Amino acid sequence: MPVSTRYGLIYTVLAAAVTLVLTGLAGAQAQGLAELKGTVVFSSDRSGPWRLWLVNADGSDLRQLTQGEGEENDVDPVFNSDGTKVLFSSTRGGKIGIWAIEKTGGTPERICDGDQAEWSADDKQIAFRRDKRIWVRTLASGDEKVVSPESFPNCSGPAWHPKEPSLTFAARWDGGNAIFLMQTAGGEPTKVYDKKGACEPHFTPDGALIVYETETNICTIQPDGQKNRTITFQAGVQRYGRPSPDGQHIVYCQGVTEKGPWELYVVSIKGGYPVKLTEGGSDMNPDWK
Amino acid sequence: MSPRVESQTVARVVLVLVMCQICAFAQSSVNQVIQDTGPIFTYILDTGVSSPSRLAPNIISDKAGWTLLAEDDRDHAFAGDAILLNDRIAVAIRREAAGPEVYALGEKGPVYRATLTAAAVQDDETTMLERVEIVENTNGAVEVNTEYKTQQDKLVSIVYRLVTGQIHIQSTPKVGVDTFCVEGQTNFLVVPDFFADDIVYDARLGNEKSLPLPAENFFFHLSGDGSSIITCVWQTTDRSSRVVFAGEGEKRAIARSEGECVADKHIWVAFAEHANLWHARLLAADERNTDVALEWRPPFSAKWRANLVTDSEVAQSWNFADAPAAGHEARESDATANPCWFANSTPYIHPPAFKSAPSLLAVVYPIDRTQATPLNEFLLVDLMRSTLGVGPCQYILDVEGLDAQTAPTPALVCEYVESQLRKNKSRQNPTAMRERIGAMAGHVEQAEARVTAYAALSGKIRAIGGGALTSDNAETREMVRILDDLEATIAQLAPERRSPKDAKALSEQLAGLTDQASWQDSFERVNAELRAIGSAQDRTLAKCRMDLRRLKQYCLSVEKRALSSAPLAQKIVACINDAFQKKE
Repeated sequence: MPVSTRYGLIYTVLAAAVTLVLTGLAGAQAQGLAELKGTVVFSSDRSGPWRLWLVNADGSDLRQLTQGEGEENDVDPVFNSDGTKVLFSSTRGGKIGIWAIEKTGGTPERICDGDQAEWSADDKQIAFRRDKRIWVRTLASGDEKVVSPESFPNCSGPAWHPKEPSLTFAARWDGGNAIFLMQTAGGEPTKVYDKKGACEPHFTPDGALIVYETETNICTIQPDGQKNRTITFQAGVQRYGRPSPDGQHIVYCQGVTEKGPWELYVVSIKGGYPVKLTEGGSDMNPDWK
Repeated sequence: MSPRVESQTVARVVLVLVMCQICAFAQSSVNQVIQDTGPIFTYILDTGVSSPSRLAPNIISDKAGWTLLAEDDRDHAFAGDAILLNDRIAVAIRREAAGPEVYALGEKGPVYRATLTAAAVQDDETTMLERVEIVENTNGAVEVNTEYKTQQDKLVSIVYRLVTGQIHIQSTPKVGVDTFCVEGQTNFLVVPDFFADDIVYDARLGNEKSLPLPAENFFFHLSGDGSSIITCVWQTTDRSSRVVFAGEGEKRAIARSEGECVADKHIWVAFAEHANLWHARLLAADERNTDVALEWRPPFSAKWRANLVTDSEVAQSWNFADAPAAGHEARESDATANPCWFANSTPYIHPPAFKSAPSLLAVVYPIDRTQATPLNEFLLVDLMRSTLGVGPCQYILDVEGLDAQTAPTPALVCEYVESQLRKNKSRQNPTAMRERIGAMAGHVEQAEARVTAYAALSGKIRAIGGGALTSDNAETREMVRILDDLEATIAQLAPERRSPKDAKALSEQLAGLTDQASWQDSFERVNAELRAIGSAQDRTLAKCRMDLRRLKQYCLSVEKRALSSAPLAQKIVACINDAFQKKE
């Protein structure tokens, strides 16, 4: 191929690349739900008591996952690593406990006492809250241990690091809330952020960021406490942010006040204009796989 | 043409096109880059040349010759003026200005709204920028540390922070700042009270150069002929603030508001912008005691509040109802039925006669959200939540030192009990329900004790004043009037507050419902009565607190003017401070 032609091709490719980059940036802002993949599980009171529901991330195929008689409430659902099972908290049987159900439905199985549970990256363990402490349970053996120090009396919302044996969680004391990092083997937690009522931390799939909530907004922060960034900015209250499987978006709840009612929205993890995912009833505690 | 020449020609054409595209990319306007990246994000720009005067709106819009700083560039040396930007406000930090100049970015483009200035000591105000350095420069937030020179050559430093998509700029005084000011001509200033009546300052009334503001954490300016609300939220409660007027007659306007600063404590100034965002209308004498349909229409769904302002700053404040209240036609000035409502989307006001008031003004503004309020409209309650971190209910409990965690309010407990009763939970855990109901009775008792303390404080102040505190004296007349107001509120709302004994009896009835299969009818009655007690307590506490703040500010002004009653005023201020500090 002549040199000049080769340059021509190179420039053509360059021009195409520049065009793609520019249109891609613009397109990313305008993107709605249509291109989003995966399934969002959430708890909703749209059928009466709080039950688990599923919806495709593009907003289609809304369906109820858990059924029940009476007033038991199913909340805090979270997918396992391949998205085939859902762990959740429920008052079924009269006492708050951790349950699991297949994504396709069926009969839920009670695992243990506690709430706010989450799977480890290999699905072999779960971390959860019991008596305001953080516990880890090995599912095959049923072995359990407390991992949060005694000096942290009000812990909540443990979430596993996707690649390392560590957890992030929130703790509350008289002065306010903070989010921490802690090795699952134990040891003193390290503080990530302690302002504006920070809680509900959750790692992005690559472990590079923690998605968390303040009193009013969803934010991201690096595990070392740097690059703190407010992602949602709307009026009202935003809660329960969870990253998408590709780490590019966050699904969260938008409420009129801190008491709700709540609707699910999706926003780019870099921020931007959100898109409404659900409406009707009050929809909370989303997780996305 | 040979194939080789043809391919060379094609290559040249492509090269030219590519160069054009690259040049266009390199020269693409700052606006285009911001548009592509996302206008809601935060940016820092350098205007290239420092402007000797305030920037015209088209300069802000065009950004011609401006440099957009790359994210994380914190070492930039500004050749011109610094601009902080998101999609709602632009903040121009000019070298030759006394403080950042804020433009609201509304539907019609940039509109200058206010300048945020400061003073090192009283009357030693900032004059020009000495230094600006970038603290944070990301798409999520931008923050700069500034140093301004004052008239007496002192240096004061303030940090300014702007966050993605927000309508407020956060100011944090650092070194040498005594007073923080929001300068800009506005029509009205409102000190809102969620549970009682607002205080509304109308520049056209009175002839004082300034007035002390009985505000604790927030107040707002209404400006722009209905299109702009500038809200100031202060992180600190214990400080004084005032409103300053300028001009004469019809041209008299509010020139600025200002307040004392505490180092490292934030002040947030929010710029809400929307056509018809607020409305003011003088009500003619023949419109009193009639249904008046306003020509103004609310621009979006919200909870709208009307203030009826006579010749006193203390307004009668009402939230618009969705429909006219029964009996509203027969209302007089002391009536309690709501005189503001919507009918077929038209807002109506039925102003009481106010026979003694020569002037009657209605001022309408949005105070809180409904589910249909657009997410990009930030109302007063939104600003409270995003700055102070609490809503109105928690706010009044916090400032009154009442702990809703250990002693929950009647509204919280009734809501909890109803949800449990509906789920038949009472039979599963009646102990927990009874504990919360018992704790609620404790809350009612604590709140009533606060009311009693306010009544005692009023008595103590009267005792301090002795014979000098009289309506016959022009200087002390206002003090007596405020104390009369406070005591009248406590007395007038006493039947609605009832007694802690009544509340305890009601709470026992509520607890008794947990054992009953048919609880609905009894619950409705008990729920309504308990909530009414809680609401009356909230209103009484809020009103008493506002009255004492008014009294304190009035006494401070007497002290400052060194009037003959200054020693008495000083004692009253000390008494109020002592009472507030004991509680807080």
